[in-house]
Amino acid sequence: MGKIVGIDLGTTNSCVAVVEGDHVTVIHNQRGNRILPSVVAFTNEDCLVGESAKRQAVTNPTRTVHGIKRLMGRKADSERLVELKKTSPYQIVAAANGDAWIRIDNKEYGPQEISALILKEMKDYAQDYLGEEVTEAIVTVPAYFDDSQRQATRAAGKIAGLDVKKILNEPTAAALGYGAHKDKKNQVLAVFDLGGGTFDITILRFEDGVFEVLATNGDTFLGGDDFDQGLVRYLVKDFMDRHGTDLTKDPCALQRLRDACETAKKELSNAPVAAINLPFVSVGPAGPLHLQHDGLSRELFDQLTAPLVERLEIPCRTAMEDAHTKPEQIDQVLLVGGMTRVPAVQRKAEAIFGKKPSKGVNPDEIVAVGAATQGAIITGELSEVVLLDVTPHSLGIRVVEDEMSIVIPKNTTIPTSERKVFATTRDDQDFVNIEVYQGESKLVSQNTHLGRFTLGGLPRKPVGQVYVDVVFTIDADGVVHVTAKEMQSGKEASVTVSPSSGLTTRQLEEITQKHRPVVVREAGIHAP
Amino acid sequence: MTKSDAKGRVLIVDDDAMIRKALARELGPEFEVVQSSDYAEAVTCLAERSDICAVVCDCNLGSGPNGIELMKQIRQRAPGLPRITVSGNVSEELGRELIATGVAHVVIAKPWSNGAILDAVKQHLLGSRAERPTRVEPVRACPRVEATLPARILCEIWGHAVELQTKDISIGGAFIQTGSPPPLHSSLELSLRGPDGSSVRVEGRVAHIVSPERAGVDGRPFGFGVEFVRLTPQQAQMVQTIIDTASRPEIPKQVKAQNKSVTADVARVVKRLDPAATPKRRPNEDDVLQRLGGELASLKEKDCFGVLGLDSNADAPQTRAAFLRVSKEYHPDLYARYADREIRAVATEVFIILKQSYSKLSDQVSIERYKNSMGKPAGSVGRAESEPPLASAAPVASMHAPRVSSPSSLDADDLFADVEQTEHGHQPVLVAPLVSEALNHIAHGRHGEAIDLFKQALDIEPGNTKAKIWLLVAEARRLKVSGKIEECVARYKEILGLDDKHIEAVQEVRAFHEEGRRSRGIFSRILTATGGGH
Repeated sequence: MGKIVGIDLGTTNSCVAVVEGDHVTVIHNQRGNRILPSVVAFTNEDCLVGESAKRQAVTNPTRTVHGIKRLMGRKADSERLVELKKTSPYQIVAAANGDAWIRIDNKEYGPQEISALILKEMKDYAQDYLGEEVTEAIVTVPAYFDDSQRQATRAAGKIAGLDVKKILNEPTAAALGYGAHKDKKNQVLAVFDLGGGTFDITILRFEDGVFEVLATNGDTFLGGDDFDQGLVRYLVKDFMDRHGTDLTKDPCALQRLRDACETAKKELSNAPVAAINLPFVSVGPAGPLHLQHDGLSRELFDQLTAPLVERLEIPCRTAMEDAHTKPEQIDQVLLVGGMTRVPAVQRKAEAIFGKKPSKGVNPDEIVAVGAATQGAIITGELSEVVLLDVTPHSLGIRVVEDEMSIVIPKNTTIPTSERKVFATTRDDQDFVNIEVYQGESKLVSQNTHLGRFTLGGLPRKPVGQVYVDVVFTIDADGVVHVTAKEMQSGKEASVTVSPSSGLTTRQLEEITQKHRPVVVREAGIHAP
Repeated sequence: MTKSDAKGRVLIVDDDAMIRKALARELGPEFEVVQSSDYAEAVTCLAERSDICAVVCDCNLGSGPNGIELMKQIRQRAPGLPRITVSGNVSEELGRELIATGVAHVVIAKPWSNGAILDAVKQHLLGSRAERPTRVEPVRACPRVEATLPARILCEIWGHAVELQTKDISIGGAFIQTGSPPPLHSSLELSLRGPDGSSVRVEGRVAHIVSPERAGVDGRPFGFGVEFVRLTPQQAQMVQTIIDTASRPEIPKQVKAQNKSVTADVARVVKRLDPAATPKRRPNEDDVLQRLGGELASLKEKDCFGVLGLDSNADAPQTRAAFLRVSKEYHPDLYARYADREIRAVATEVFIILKQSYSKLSDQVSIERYKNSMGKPAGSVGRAESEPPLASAAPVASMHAPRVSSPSSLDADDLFADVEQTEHGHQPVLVAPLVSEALNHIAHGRHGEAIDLFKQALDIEPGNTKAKIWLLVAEARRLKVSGKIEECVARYKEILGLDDKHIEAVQEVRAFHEEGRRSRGIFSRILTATGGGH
């Protein structure tokens, strides 16, 4: 078997690494960069991924896709996407089953397919670096990703021609990348991961070679992009007040502004003041308009983004409660994700945990490094280390109207399995529907619907006399499986699964087929 | 080969000497016969001899454990040994239940038609001789073709033909998708229809089963593997034709189109990359799978301490260390490297058992609680799989969302209800899982265990009518199987006292009155013939 690479498929940036001998190498692409922007663009000739896609975003905003991770596993009408729909230059539409897809040039693409293009790019330059075929990978996801989001990530891997050996939670990967297993000291870690699109907080115990996740929490809609957006909104309003023009109507201008704000945000992590300068950003009645702002101070930025920073607290507190751990019992706090460079975020983390976070962690690469290390565990190159992760959301079914009955509570170590017995509620009822949900709300309508299982062929008997035995399993990747059988005969009733989101098997096959490389290098000859 | 090897040896168990003589007469020409008159003798005989190839046994064995108990014992110790039950007072339902629960392979009512017992022994014998019980190996080494073909299965256990579908097929056998497979080693007849309309009927035997639980973990289809037996040359040829038509490769159109668009300036070789296609399982993977399967089987027999490799004196630090140690050996990630995904699936089952056992022993309080429960009857000990995880203390954190207590009246539009919630409202956690598990035992015919659990549930909550009724049902069924019809009917009448619309009770009491009339007739016949009595 060849090497298993570790891939951090991020909202804003992605990274791929591999274990070589006794160390981990973060693989660079042809341009010499170790980080690949998670941007995909469609031009008239071609499809661009990464740096080149990002660079031409300003001139091609409606056909450049960034932050596709935000759409993975989501429904188009999700309230979380409302803001995104307003501000994204590319069009977000609903697929036949309600999933969020994007439309470019009158063609529709699912987020799995776009993500696959990014994965494929990394697969290609990893292959170039290693000089051998790469077919297996570990792909990371935010710990707080639900089942639909994980399935979508798996599908993306398949489309890209990768056998995804494991879907790994990013904070757990970070803990592994941090190398707690190397100095072999037992410790409790808190991984504080604020990336481009998501926030995860995970509390883990490392003991005797075993990384055991105690609790995880987070917000899959809180990330660097939101911080950028804070600045963007401020400047748009400012511009409107000064010039009476609404920049949001102009996709090009908006894209330029967004890029500039991202740059300014990064500058403000080091300098107290940043400037934004966008000449010819728009046109007014009197002629061209320019956006110039010399005095963007860190204080202003902190003010604008204060509500976002506040949102970091509650998930941390909840995770610590669920882990039965107090801040003083935590040995190390690891900061992961580019956004943890922002001083206000670092201060918040310090305030929550009562200690300075650990330095010496590369927040952009550590997740990929951890994923590669997990690859080594799987191939057996690294032994005596194992990760025990948990499911982040409670799993349950709908009973009685809108009520959620929990079958597997959140933060249960996976893989795990639970069985429950149910009775019919009508005479002669010969089928039952099990609607499976993930979430913490007592009402199913506020949780994520994973799918419906219909069990048919039950014997017709009066109410309450037919019993159905249902087994819920969450595998080591955090994906949910449900099987059931009618108890008195021991026979299994026919089970049809209607998953609520994702690609059908046929769609997946078609899209994979579309992207399957027909051509492979002839021995010794590499494509230019 | 000695003469005794040429003829198989059949054990006959019946307390009636005349019946034993009759059975010996029928089987004698083709088999050597060994006779026992009661449970104890039969067990001794089986313990002393290793050459018994089939057992024919009456339900009623006088005093002491009855024939059903004997069959169950035999099933546990020698699952492949053909078991044929002969009985004078077995109803059709009971017979089906015995077969469905795997207690007996065949049930034959007395008086039996001439040669029926001999046929039954011969048919089931051939099945078990072909089995190699020591190895779990894939039955078919021949190349398989993935094909969803219609398959019409006629299996004695089911009684009628069932239309199912194959998942794959080879010249050696096929895999049939269904959630309710017939018992292992059952004989069946299979009619396959090929994609071009050709069809063939073959005989087969159930070689292995993939349970819904295992399938649920891995997302693969559940069902059973059929090994074709005694294929005639014509049948073999027809099967091969079906395989050939099913596997004819189609050249995908896209590949053709993309070939055309290849630019000419670089010479390229056309090759399909398909990393998702699983390569054939390599030899060492078979060993791994077998080892894991064996481990899984042995773990299921152990209590929580045993699962972790400890004795019951272990304290919390020891259970923790043991859990960490077994995690590093059996976590499914460590088996993700293998091409065959079943390996990871089995490892997942193993790991879940380890985890559930540890969660009962994760701190001193839990350990004490578990040790106290260990004294109780078998049903309550172990990884009661239907029991939801109790909120165990750190380090295995599993905090519960508060249990939802629902009103006891339900909306008419509901299609679904949670047993625990509709019947018990806000019950304490302990009762409901006991009832669920007990129901599970009933479904599998384990009446003894079910009775124990219902009794426990009633200890905790004496007013639980539902549990009381189920207890009576379990007792009644058990009594029926052991032939104690009067007591059985008495139980059903008790049920009717609590719930006069209880369907099973109504039917059984009615059937008893009718059957009573019939069976008395048979008894009188045998009484006059033998001069003795049951």
